[in-house]
Amino acid sequence: MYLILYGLIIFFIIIMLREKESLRLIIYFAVFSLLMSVLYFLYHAYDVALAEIAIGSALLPLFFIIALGKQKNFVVVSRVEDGFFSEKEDSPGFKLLERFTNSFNLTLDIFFEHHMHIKGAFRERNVDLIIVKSHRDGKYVFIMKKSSVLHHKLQRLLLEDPRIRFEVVEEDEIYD
Amino acid sequence: MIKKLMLLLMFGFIFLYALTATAPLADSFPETSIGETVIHRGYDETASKNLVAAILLDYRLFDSIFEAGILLISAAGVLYMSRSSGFSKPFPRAKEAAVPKDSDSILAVSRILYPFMLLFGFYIIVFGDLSPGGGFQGGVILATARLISVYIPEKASENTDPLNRLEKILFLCLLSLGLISLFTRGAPFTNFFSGSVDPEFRRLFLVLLNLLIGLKVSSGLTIIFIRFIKEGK
Repeated sequence: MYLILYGLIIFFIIIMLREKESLRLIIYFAVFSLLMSVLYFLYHAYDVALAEIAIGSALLPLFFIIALGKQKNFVVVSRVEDGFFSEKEDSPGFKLLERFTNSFNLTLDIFFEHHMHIKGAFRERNVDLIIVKSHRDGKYVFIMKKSSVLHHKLQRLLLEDPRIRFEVVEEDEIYD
Repeated sequence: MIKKLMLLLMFGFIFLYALTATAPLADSFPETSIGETVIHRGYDETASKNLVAAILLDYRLFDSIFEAGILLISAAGVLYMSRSSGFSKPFPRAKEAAVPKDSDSILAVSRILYPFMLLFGFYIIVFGDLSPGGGFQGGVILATARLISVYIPEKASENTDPLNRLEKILFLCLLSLGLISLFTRGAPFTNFFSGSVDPEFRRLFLVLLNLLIGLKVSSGLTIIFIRFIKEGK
C-alpha cells in the first residue's frame, strides 16, 4: 500500500520534471499534491493533509493557471525578411500578425533570426510562432506548437491567404 | 534618508529584541519531551480535543498570530504592486478585445458548488478544535470558493478595498482576543477562561479564534486572487 503510494509520488515527480507543457504540468502538480496529502493522511497527520489538499491541489494550481492565462507576449521568430514580412509596419505579414495579437490583447514580439548571434538563446525562450520560406512552393510557412492554445485561431485567420501555409508541430520538433 | 534610517533602527531594534528574548529560552528548555506533555495534559489545559489546534491556538498562539500577520503583509504587498502597475499601460491596445466567454457548464457547476464549498469551509473552521482542520485550512477553502464565484457573473465584485479593511480589522481583533487573557489570567496569548471553568465553555475561545483566523486568511487570499485576476486588465 505504502510502496505503491511512494512509487506513484516518485513517478509523478519524474513526469513533472520531464513535462514541457505548462498546463499539463500544473495538472500533474495537483495530482502530486493529492498523493502527498494521502501520504500525510496515512501517517495520521490529518491537519497537514487538509492544508496540503487545500493549498497544493486547489489553490496553487489555480494561481498557476491564472498566471498562465496572463502570458501576454506572442513571440515570433522569423527566418524571412522581405517584402512580405519585415519590420516595417505596412508589410502584409506584419499586419496579419498585428491584427491577430490585437484581437487577443497580446504584445507582438518579433525576432529576425539572422540578426541574432546567439541562437542558443531561442531554446530557452518560449517561441510561439516560427516563420520560414519554403523552397518547394515559395509559400511562407507558419510553424506553431501543437500545445499552443492559439494555433486554431491563427490558422482560421490565415486560411484565406494563398501565400501562407500553416503547420502544427509537436513540442520537440520546433527547433528543427 | 529618514526612511532608510528608520528602517535601520527598526531592524536593529528587532534584532536586539530577538537576541535578548531568545537567550533565556535556551536555558529553560525542558528536559522531558514536549509531545508527551501535550498528549497527557493538552485537553485539560486548553480544552481542545484536536491537539494540533491546542498547540496552534493556545501553547503557540503568539507564533500563530504572526503567521496571520505574514499573510496580511503579503496581501498588502500584492495590493501595492498591482496598483502601481495599473496606472501606466505600456502599449495602447485595440479597442475591441475579444473576451472569451465562459462555458455554461462551468457556470452551472460553480453555481451548484459555491454554497457547499462555503458550508464546508465554515464547518472546517468552526469544528477546528474537535476535528482536523482549523482556521487556516478552512480559510483556504473559503478563498477557493470565492475564486469559483469569479465564474458567477452576478456575484463577481472586483473591489478589494472592503476586504482589505476587513482583514486589518480582523487582525486587530485577533491581537486583542489574544491579549484579553492578560487581564483575566495575567498571561498574554492564552485562553481567557481560567483552567477551572468547564471545557465546554473554554471551547468558545478556540472557536472564536478559529473563526477570526479563518475569515482573515480567506479575505487575504481573496485579495491576492482578485488582484491577480484583475492585474493587467
